Amino acid sequence: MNEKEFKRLLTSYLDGELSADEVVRLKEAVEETPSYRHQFQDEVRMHTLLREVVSEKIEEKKISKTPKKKSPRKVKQPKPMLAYIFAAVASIAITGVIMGFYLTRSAPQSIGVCIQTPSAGEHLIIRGGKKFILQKNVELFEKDIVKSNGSGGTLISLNDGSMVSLEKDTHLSLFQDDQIQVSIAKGEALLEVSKRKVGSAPFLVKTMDSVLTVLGTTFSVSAKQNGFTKLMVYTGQVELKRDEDSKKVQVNANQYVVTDNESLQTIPIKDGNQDASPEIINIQPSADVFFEGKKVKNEKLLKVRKGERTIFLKFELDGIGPVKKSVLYLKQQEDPGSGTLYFHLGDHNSWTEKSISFNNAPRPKKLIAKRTGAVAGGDTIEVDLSKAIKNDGIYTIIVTLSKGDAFDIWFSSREGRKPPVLQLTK
Amino acid sequence: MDKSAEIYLKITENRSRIMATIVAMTRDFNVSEDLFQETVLEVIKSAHNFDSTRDFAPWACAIARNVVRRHWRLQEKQPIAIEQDALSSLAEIAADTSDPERWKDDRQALQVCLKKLPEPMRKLVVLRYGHNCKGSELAEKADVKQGAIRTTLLRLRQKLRSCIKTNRDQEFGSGVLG
Repeated sequence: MNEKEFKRLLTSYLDGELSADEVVRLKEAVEETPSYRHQFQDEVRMHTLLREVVSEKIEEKKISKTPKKKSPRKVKQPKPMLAYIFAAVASIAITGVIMGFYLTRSAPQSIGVCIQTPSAGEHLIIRGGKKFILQKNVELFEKDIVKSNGSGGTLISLNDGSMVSLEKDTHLSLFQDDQIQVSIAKGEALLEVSKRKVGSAPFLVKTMDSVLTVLGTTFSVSAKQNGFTKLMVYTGQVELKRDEDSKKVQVNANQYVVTDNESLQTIPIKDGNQDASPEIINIQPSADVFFEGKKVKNEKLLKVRKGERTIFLKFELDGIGPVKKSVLYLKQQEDPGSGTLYFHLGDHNSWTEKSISFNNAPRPKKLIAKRTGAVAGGDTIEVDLSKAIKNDGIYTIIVTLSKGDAFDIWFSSREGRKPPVLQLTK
Repeated sequence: MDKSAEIYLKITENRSRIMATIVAMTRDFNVSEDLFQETVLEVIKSAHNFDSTRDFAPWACAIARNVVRRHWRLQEKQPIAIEQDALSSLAEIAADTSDPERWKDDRQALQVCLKKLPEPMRKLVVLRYGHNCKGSELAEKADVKQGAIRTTLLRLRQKLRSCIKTNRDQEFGSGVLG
């Protein structure tokens, strides 16, 4: 690749405007040519540092221009025409009333500030019964209700240095007496509570059925739909007191407890066993080819035909843990066909698209699924592999067809427009 | 220092390298900033697995790559597998360094060098990096021809790198002479 082409790819890459093929070409150039590797590292470093430094400067400027923190923007409600007319006539009077209210009322007690809201989802504050859009730098006051709908990632920095991160569809409210209190009505929040000063009151978290007393630690709290609470402690120690029987339990680092457990027994946290709601994960194959006779083909299509063409797919599941369901999706492309498709597990996984040959290719070890019927143009076939794929590991799936000649079927490969997908439900 | 305080400190020290990993994969600042927050939470959750005798940044950057891959898996339109693999490799290369201090030094020097830019260039930097403008919008607002915008930005970054190098050489020189 010449210098001019490399620079074109590099600058388009930084703007996120390269095709998949171009990204692969850029990667190969960077891996193969040391001078391109250095240029690439220099450009990404400068690109990232510029964003950090310039956006920080803008934030600093905003803060210095507006000594008060940002006020939330009210959610716009569609109004009928009459309401607009009324609003126009009454606007002066209303402004006067509002000004008077803000000037005469006692200053509300600030509890913290929102430091991050994700771009997706709807993030709101309910203040005095009115809805406002929650934005970055919006100051939060006592009795505010914060709602994070549709997406998690809202971060709140509290005045005592503690941090609260709201997961998807979480509703919580903030109070401050002689101590900060967070009340979680719905969803899940991760809290990093700053260490309490000697003699100061503990940080309290209330859920529907319990009170948590915290002295400075990292933990997450879920208010479960059945009204129970799940507390997971990552560092430090949290005391949970169940309202109904005043039963208390100390939950230590790497332990969790659920309040529907009569004895409030603590359980060690192990990766992958926590989420009650199913999580769907889509995995594309790390390698896929088909054989035409003894010849290996690595193309944008995967072709299958009795006795002549066989498809090999390799999926690598890492860090996912046990899965309840695994379904393979293959998208037909160009040539439709019919027959029974057989799905076998391969007897080994030691192959890549570059290394596989007719002699070292995995052989079918066990039939794990089959599908009979036509595969029409544009169809996506769905094959349940739950009996074979239940946990992390590497899996080779070999696909064969019962019919030959014109009945062969072509699917998109991972290099194609609609790659094969293994959908895992945790 | 307790483990979580130690981890927070290390995240702060290595913030730019972790962010570069995410930016190199997503190539979108706004998405990257969201995913950086998720990475921080993941790093804290996994703190008990961190061996403090090992280098922190490669460990945290590997977590960041997993966070981006998980983000892709939850998207309806995700990059195809070979693109994901290529972007992950590029991200690993982007954050790989034999001189971890360089990120911190360059960041400091960049603040000085930005002040030396002529006004039109500074405006371009603020639009692209402060307000995340791209393409025709950036060209229009910065008053640069659309076809020339990427080359102009490339030259600008080269200019800033050269300024950073001069700054570093001067500091080194005065230290030796001083």
